[in-house]
This record gives sequence, structure tokens and C-alpha cells, in this order.
Amino acid sequence: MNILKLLLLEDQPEEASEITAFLSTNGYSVTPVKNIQEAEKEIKNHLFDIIILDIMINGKPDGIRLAQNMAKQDITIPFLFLTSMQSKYIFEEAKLTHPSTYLLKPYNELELLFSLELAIEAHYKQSNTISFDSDSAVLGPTYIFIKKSKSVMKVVVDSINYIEVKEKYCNLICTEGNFLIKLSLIKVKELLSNPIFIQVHRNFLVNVQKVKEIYFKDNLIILDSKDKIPFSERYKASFMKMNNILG
Amino acid sequence: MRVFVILYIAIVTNTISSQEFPKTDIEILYTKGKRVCDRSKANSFCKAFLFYKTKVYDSCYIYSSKAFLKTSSQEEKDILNYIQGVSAIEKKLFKKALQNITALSGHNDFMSLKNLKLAEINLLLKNYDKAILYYTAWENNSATTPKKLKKDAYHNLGLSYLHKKEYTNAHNYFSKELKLINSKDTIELITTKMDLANVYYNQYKDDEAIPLFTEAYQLAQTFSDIDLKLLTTKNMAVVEKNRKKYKESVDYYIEYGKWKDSLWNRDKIWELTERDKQFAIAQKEQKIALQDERLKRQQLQKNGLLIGGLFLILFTLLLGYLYRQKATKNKLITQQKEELNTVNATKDYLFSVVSHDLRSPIHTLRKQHQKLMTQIAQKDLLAIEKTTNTAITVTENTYNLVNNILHWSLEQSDQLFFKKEAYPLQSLIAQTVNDFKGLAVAKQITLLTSIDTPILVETDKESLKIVLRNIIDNAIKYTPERGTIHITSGVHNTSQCVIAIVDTGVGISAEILSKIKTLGSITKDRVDRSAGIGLGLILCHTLIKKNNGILEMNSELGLGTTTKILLPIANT
Repeated sequence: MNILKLLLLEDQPEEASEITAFLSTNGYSVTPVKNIQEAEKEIKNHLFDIIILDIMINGKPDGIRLAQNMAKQDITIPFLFLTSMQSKYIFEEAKLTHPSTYLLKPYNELELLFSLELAIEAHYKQSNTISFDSDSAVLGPTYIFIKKSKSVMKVVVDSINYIEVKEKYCNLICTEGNFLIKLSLIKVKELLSNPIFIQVHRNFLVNVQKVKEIYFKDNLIILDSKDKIPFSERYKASFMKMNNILG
Repeated sequence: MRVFVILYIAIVTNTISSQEFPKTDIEILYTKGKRVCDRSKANSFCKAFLFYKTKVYDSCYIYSSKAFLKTSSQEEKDILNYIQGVSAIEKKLFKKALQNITALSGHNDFMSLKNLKLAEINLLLKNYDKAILYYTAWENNSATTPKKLKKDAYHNLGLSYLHKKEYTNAHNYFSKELKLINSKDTIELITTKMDLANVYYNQYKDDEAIPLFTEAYQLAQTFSDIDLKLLTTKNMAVVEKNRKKYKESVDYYIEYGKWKDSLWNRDKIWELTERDKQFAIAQKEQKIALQDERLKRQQLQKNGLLIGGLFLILFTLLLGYLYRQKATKNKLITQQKEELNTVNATKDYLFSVVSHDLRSPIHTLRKQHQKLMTQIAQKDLLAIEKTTNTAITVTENTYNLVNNILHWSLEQSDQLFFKKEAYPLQSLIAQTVNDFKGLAVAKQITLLTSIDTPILVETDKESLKIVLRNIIDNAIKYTPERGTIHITSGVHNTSQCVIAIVDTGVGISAEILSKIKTLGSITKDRVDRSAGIGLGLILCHTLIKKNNGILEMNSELGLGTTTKILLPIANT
């Protein structure tokens, strides 16, 4: 389980240090930058999980400009605008860059944390998950985002043992616990598109790295975690072919 | 000097004069024709015959030719030959006439007519010998010939003899003709007498000729025909000259000249009349042309009027369109004016809020700061703390007020960013309550939040927070120290959730409460400060309404106030 890396574009030093201090104590690794050049350099050199952009930087709407530049370079990192302006016009302008959400100044600490959750949810199109209840998680292509007390943490997808269909959505079982993903299994498979996850049953997706034993005759897979997964005939052939197992 | 001879050839026409004999040749012909026509119903024949009877010889000639092609009966052929022959004579086609008449069969009914016609044609062709031959043949069998034809035949025969200079015969036949002439028929009488006189005169029988000439002259004098007068007078002049009675001759010549003049006059008059007629026609034509021109002009006028009318209609339509456009514009202007009035009212309201509600807290702050100055000088730390706390409270309230002014003005000018989405209700409440924790602690008020179940609410989160902030702020403001404010949330019904803010404050008087209750129907153009309701509540009502929610307030004076907000639950 890792903390999220956050880039903060804020030209006011007082506010920047306030946010940095607060978020650091709430489980975020914050990199504050003062202008668009610094921000672009940081984005180039590091992988950030989320970005907070103040719209007005030194009197210019550079926050919007940075968002536009990111879109041009196909950088898809969830970002949110931080603004004191509640005017519709600046919002219309900002809206065109498709931010994950907005955070209006003045804001309190809860609102800041909530907005970060919203940003992650919106970015992966899984709204009302981590912000709604602690049993939910947001699934990304490489990380699972889970709520840990007040903050959001990320877990690499490799740590997933298996994914099971639960009604409309999916249950994700990993070392860190069980989480509800508000996506269908088909969508989950699509999102992961990772060869270590293989469908073994209509309702199950298994991380092959976590498989301990396979009982072909009993149609059963036993994982390291001792979880028993049903193995359906339909998926056996492709499974064996992919893993070079001789039946 | 030779006397002028009138070569008057009587041509037999189909005039009926059937007093003497019940059946003359012509009548027989008519009867036969009718019979054939009734029997055969041959169209061309009937037509030809009809045209013959009505003396339309052109058509008769043509239709009889057609009829020839269809007929084979001798009788019909005879009739057709006869009528076509007569038509040919009329059209001066003598050779054709000769053919037709010669082709007539020797039937008794046609014998005398055939001879008569042949004689006539020969006379017209100046074959006098042959004419005499045929006439003589006819005379031997002339019982069935009508009187008029007979008379004409005698005349023609006499004429033939005259040409042959056989005066005795000529005299005989003219005399015969004279006998047949009705004494009332002056023209015939004069002509025949002249012919007879000519016969005598040519034989130098002046004693017999001259009385006849004189008689003819005298008869002509009583008669109106100028041509006859001219002729008889000239004959008299020639006769008198020949017997050397020059004085009389000259008189006759003078008279002749007079008649000639009158004839010329008559011709002239006729010509003049003709010219007049032509002139009249020309005039008429001119009139017609004029009329045409007028008609044309009228047509033109009509067209002009039509086009004018059309233009008028178009113009009217255009005017109507412009008028409507203007009306629409006016309506828009009125609407805009109303909007402007509303905005202006809002502005006035905000000004009044700014000037009154902001003035007093800032004034308080100023006083607090002055107080602090003295307290700092006195180094009275306890007093400083108290004053500062008051200042913080005032600042806090003023800040809220300014926020409300901002939101209200943004909302009124439709500039507030507003987007309804599904949000976790408890999180929004927690975020809002978070701001009041410090204040509640300072006032020793217990701020409880109990969230029933996780609920997703359909709302614009910023506007809901503004509402919650206002209500919680009010609750804290009107709840005395050590009081309790309880915030709960839960499901109201299948489509709505509820947020309740219950305080143990001073409560609101029934009077003000009723005013608050009417706020639901308050529109932005009916902002009335005299109602005693602050901007905050008006803003709350407006925003909750915009979120499709309901704001309810219940209070009991001295016991506290309960505010309920109903909002739609998001569909998941």
C-alpha cells in the first residue's frame, strides 16, 4: 500500500505551505510548484497520481493553460481546479479542459480531501465509491485506490488475488482486504488488460501469480491465500494454452 | 349612220310562272328533282338541286359534278346535266354548257328545254344560224314552255334574225314577243319597241320606224330608268339627224347630254356613296382601332392596377411583418425592462444590505479595535482576549453576510455555477459542519451529527453547502450557551431524503415564521426588506427550490427551531 503522489500548482506561498502541510499529515506526498514551467518539468520527471491546479497563477489563468497542455500531450492524470472564482464564465473556460472536479476557495480540510476523492472517482469514471463508503475502491489500470481513514491510498493491481462478480458490480479480494468496485466484470477485464489476470469462471478473474494449486478434475483452483475458486470447463482450454500446462 | 341596237338576250332562268299550264317544263323538272331527292336521299344531288333552285350556281355546279360520280340513273343524269348546263351558262362556261345540254337524252320532258338551251348557247356563241335552227325546232313543240321563256325565246329569235339581217322574220318574232309582253312591263315594252323600230329603220321603213322610236322615247320619258332614257333620246337624235331635222336633233342631243350627265351624276353619286361608304368604313375602322387602343389601354390600366394592387398587398404584408417585428422587439424590450427592474431591485436591495448590515458590524469592529488599543496599553490580557473573541465573532458573521451577498448576486445574475450530480449526503453535511466546530466549542454548544444510512443526494453541492451553512449559522447564533444543535439525515420517502437541523434556541415568533413560510412563493422581484427576513433565508429558499427541494421551518418560541430540507435522492 502506497501513498499518493500529488502535484500542487499554487503561486501563493502561504496557501501552498498550508495545503502541503495538511495533505502531508493526511497521507499524501505533495510536490508544490509555483508556476507552469516548474509544473511541466515535474510532470515530465515524475509520475503523479493527482494534480491540484490553482486557476489564477500570477494574475494569469495558467492553471487552465497547463490543463490544456497536458491534454495536448495526452497526459491523463486526474486533476482538479482550485479557485476562488465562482463566476460562470471562468468555469465555462475551465470546463473545456475536462477537470475531474473543482474546489472552491474558501474550503475546509474535509472539502479538500473530499475533492481529491471526487477527482479520482471522476477520472476513472467510478463515482460515489471511495467518497461514499470505505468498502469501495477505485480500480485503475495499475493501481487500486482505496480509502484509508481520511486519505486515499493506492495498491498495485498485482496484489489482487482474485475478482468475483457481486450483483451488478465486482468484489475485489486482495491482501489488503475486500473492496467493492463499481464496474462490471467485463469492464474490469477491459480496464486491467493485464495478462496476469485470467478468467476461470463466468464470475471469476484470477491473478495467476497467486495460484497455488489447480484441481482439473474437481474444477477447482486454490490460491496462496487458500481461497478456493471454481474452475469452469469453458475457460480451461485457453487457460492451459496460455500457461503451457499439459492436461 | 347606224342606229344603236340593243343586243338584249333573254336568258332563261328558273323563274316559275305557271298560270296557263298546270305542268310546264320547269315544273316537271322541279317535280322530278324532288322525287329523285326524296327517293335516293343522295346528298350531293339534293344539295345541287337545292342550290339550283336558290340560284346559287357556283355551288350547284360543284355539287352536280359530285352527284355525277354517284349516279347511274338516266333521269338523274338528265336533271344533273340540265342544272349543271344552266349553271355553266350563268358562269359563262359555254363549251361545258353545250356538252351538258347535248348530253340530255331525247326524252319528251326535256326536248323543248334542250332545244331552247342549245339555241340560247348558240346565240351567246354568236352562231346565229344554229340558234335559229334550234329555236325553230323548239317553236314547233313549245306548248309546255312557260310564257316568260316563250317571250324570251321570241326575243332571242328576233335578235338572231336581226343579226342575219332577215328583217321580215325579225319583225315577226319581235311582234310575237310584243304580244306576250304585259303592257305594264315598261322596260320590256320599250326595249321591244326599239328592237322593232330598229328592224324597220334598217329596212329604211322610216315611216314605221320613227313613230316606234318616238313611242319608245315617250314611254321612256315616263319611266325612271335613265339608261333607257339615254338610249331612246340618242336614237331620236340620230333619227332626226338622219332626216335632216337638225334643230330637233340638236335638242335631242342636248337632252341626251343632260341624261348622260345625270347618268354620270348617278354613277358619280354612286361612286361618292361608295367613297362615303369607304370613308365611313375607314372611320369605323379608325373607331374600332381607337376602341382597340382604348381597350388595350384599359387592359394596360387593369394590369397596372393589378400590379399596383399586388404591390400594395406586398407592401401591407411587409408593413405587417415590420409591425410584428417591432411588436416582438417591443415585447422583448418590455421583458428586458422587467428583467432590468428586477436586477435593479436586487441591486438596490444589495446596496441597502451593504450599507446597513455591513456598516454596523464594521463599526463594531472599529470600536473593538479601539478598545483593544487601550486594553493593550493597559496590558489587560483577559480583556484583550474577550474583545478579540467578540471581534472574531463579528468578523465571522460579516464574512457570512458578504458570502451571502456574493452568492445572491451571482444567483440573481444567473452566473452561479450550478450542476446537479449525485453526492454522498453525509460527506457534504460533515464538510459543512466541520466549519462550525470551533464556533460551537466557543459557545459551548453541543453540535451532534447523526447520519442514518449512506444516501446519495441529487444536488449541486456548493449551493447545498451554502444553505446548510446559513441554517447552522443561524442555529448557533440563536441558541444560547450550553444548548444543543442536532443534525440528522435520513430517507424521507422513496424519492426524497431529509436533512433536519434541530436547535434548542430561542425560537422564532409565529409572526415571523408565517412570513418565512410565504418565502416559498417569493420571487426575486418581490424582495422586501420590511419583511424582516434576512438575505440568508431568502437565498436558502431560492437555492433549495433550484435543487428541486423543499425548505420547511417549525419553531416554538423559547423551545427551539427545527429546519427540514427535503431533497431528491439520486438514482443509481
